[in-house]
Amino acid sequence: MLEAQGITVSFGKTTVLRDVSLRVRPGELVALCGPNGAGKSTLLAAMAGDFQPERGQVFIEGAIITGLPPAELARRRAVLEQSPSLSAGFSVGELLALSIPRDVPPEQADALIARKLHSVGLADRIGDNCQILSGGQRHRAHLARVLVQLAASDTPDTGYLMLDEPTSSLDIAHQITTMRIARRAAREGAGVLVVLHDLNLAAAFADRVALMHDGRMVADGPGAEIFTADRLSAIYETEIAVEREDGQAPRILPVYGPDAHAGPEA
Amino acid sequence: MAVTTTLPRRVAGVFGRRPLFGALGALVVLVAFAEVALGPVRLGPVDLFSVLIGNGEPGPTAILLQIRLPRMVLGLAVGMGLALSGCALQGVLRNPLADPGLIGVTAGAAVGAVTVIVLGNFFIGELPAFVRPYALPLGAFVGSILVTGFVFTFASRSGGTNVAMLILAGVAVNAIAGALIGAMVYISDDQQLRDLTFWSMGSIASGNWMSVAVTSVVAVASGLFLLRMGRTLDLFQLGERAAFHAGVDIERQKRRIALLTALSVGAVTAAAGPIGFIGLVAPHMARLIVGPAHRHVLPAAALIGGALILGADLGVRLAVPPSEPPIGLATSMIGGPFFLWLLMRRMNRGGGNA
Repeated sequence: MLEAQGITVSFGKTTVLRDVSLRVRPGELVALCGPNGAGKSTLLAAMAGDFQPERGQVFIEGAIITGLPPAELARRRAVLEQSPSLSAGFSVGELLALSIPRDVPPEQADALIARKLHSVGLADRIGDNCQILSGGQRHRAHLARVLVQLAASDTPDTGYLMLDEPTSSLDIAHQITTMRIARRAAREGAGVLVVLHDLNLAAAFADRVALMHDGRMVADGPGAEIFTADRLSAIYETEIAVEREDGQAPRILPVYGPDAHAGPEA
Repeated sequence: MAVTTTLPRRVAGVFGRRPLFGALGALVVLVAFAEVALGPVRLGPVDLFSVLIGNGEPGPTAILLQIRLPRMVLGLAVGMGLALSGCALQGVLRNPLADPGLIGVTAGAAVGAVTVIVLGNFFIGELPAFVRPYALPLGAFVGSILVTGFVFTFASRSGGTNVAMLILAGVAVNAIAGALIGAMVYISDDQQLRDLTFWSMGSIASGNWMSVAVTSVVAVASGLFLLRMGRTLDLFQLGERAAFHAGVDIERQKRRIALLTALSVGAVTAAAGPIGFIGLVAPHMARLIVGPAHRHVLPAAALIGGALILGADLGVRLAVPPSEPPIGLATSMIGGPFFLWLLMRRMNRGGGNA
């Protein structure tokens, strides 16, 4: 289990996280939602072991995460940053190969890379320079790199996959593909933590949604339960409606107000 | 096509990589041979061979063993040390304009070395006896490590480095170093001044076996460590945070690279003076030839660096015989415009950051 226990984090005088706790179990997809500045990315970074919180601890399988050496940590969790970057002219295949440990035989490595590239829909771009890919394609290539890291570790089924806004630069179809990939990783045994702005994707794909506001955890549970119009409208400070139909994920709809086009005659 | 052996799209795409390294190796052997064979006294293969088996005429033997061979070995060590240092700095700072000379590491080494040359009389006696012969390289090393430490803390705050800040920091460090060296020049006596002036233009001519041995051992030793850091340097291209996520112990690897490059540059500068731009030019040429992966760029840059130094030395020696202008002049004259071209190309691409 990956667990943040009562962590508090400040940058200078600003407290970004106040006494926040969150659990991610193997096989589970948890979406982390909340307005800009709620502390989602900071919580994800803390749970990735990027830094030691001021108070509280993050544990990965019972071990204090900042106590593990980086190489060991890399075998247990893989992280996709919000804006992944690459400053060398690697091809897509070479980018994914960065995640392959030295001791993996080449044929196995090639097969793994091909499989993950296929899953993000970039199988035919393997030899292309990353610099010629579009923003969204590049983001998917980095997602594939992170998936390779998770799959190449000795214990793929107990690993954790952490994605910080993986869908923000993608078109609708690829947003869904990406969430399906996250879903599949969870089904195969990984604990998956995804920072999401799109509440509908969270409601549709996550087992649990952790909702943050102003550095605090305000709700943690299935999307169908915690997404209520009152709560979302209060947190986001704009009117939000929630439509429910039996047997389906709730649909979260912003109410645009008087300035929006009302229809053909507007 | 195998993925992990996917060849880059440039030259390697046509020929494959092994022949490229073969060609580079052959080039190095060729210029190394020319370096020992050519000069005011030409030595043919027969002369060289008979000297090497201990059967040569006294004249050629002296020329080869006392002048040209140490010069050739020093040239290779200098070229390799500067090229690998430049390559590692460019990799870890994610910045293709990082060069030990441009960012002030060479100048730091120069201040250390000049201090030993001018003020050595005052403190060398205080050092333990076994350290004294190495006072010059040690001084250079102290200078280079101080500047390297400064540059790393200054430049790599947010994962990537800002080109402008890095170059400006280099300008400042170079200016300060220039002032310190000027002060040393001002208080030096005539003999020291002469030593200093020639040394500061950069030359591999002074190669006596003692300084050649010290430099080569240090440059080769740190070079061997740097050559093994290809994967780490590749991962640094993702940014420091992502490299950490992929398993790199960022702080430790940065310290290691800072130490190894400072050692190399210090040793090289102590023996050959400040030689500019090889650390910039060699890795760029290497990337054009073998692609971006550091496990290929590092060895290719080392070979190219050696060939460039020996080529430059041959060039200046053969241009105006029998005088021997320092090669630092040649490398700067070629490297300076190359740097400007690189800078212009980057500006046209609109990229301020690496």
